[in-house]
Amino acid sequence: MRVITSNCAQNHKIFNEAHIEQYVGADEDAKQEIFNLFLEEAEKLKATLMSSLELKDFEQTRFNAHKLKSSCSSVGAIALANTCKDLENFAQTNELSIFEQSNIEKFENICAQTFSEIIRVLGNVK
Amino acid sequence: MIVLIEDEKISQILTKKAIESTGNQCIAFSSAEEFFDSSFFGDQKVECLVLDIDLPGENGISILDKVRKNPLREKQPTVIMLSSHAEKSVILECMKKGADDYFIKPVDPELLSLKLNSMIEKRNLFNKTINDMNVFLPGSIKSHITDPNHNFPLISKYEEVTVIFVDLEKFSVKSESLSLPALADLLNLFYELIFSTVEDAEGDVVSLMGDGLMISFTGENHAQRGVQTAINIVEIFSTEEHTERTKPLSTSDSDFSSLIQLSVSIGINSGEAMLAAVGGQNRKSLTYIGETVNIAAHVEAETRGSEFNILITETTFKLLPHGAYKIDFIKKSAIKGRSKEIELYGVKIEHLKKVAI
Repeated sequence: MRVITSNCAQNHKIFNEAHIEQYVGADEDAKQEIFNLFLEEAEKLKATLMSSLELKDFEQTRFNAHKLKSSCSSVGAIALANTCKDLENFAQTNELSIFEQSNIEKFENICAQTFSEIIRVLGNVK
Repeated sequence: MIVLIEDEKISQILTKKAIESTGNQCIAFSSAEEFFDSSFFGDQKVECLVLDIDLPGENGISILDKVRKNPLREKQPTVIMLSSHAEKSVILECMKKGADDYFIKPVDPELLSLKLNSMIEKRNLFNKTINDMNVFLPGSIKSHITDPNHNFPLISKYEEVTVIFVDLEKFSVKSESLSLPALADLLNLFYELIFSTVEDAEGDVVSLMGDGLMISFTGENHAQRGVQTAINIVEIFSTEEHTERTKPLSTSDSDFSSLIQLSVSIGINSGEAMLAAVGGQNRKSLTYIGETVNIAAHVEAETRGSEFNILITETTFKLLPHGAYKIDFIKKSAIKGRSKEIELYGVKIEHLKKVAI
């Protein structure tokens, strides 16, 4: 069985706040705008991804995983970006049939951790 | 101006910020369709395109392909691809299709800024070089320089052409009374007036020779376009009423007054000539060569002492629409080394007031 290999323990950090600062510097308003947008977009993408996973639609799953990966990479959500990359690879090689329920749970778990971490950071943004 | 095509909202905002931090203006689109429907596709002001590969509908590689094959665009923009695909095959495909660089996401904003600045600087330097060089080239080959699909015409070709030689009459007498800078100004004004007249009729200034120049007309009605242009040139230098209308705003009254005290002599011939790049290995000139050209030069020399500013050969005369111009047979003229004489005709111009020095 192939498993999703990206998890919090392996990535040390679920979220790298410094990543976004490369783009916006100390602009707190821009940070807030980006994080809010990420939460909004990522929730939608996660829902679409889960539905394409359930349908075992390889192409849609690959596309949605790729998009979510891109959003995560942009804001520094490293662990979730890596998880999406694994998922994209599964879909690309048409191996979703052996994609286990445990992997889906792992994916959902990393999503939840990422979102709550960003909400926490967002709370700290003045 | 830089165009960014990226569908993922956050990446679009952040990449746009990175681009704008370089001091460049950035317009963002979310799909190929949006971009192609906009006025920015083919716009010369777009210096660089930053393209995401995975887009809804048409992808970034397809956009790259279309941009590189766009025949309407003279100057190609720099293209940078963005993608989270790190596969060598994808990168190679982009490079083969003409991408200038490839960034794997997430893009480091500092690296992107450095790359953009360096590419724009190189592109501007290239364009400046081309623009500087174009000033010294005949119009017919200017467009070939930057067109990758066009072979530079180093191979000679035969063409039906009307060749015109224009000369400023008694210029050497006039030049004695002028300082060298004033003389240069006068020549530049003379050429500027002629160039715009020739360009309006889609002719080509082939070469400049001191106070004279060689002009060519090819294509449809080349003889008529040539004769009409010659008439327009003579009118500029002959009637005060006309010169009032043609004086460029940038020209001082005194410079212009010096110029209109001169008149031009023009010789025209039509026929087959060879367009050839002649010169050494490191320096060439593109020009027409052959009997047609030699005779046109001879005809221009025959205007000295003639009451006509424009003389044309029988060959050109026969190519003109019947009755379009008032033309008189003048004489037969012998050309050195030729057994047969040529017939010369004078073109009459209405309201012509030839100014003598």
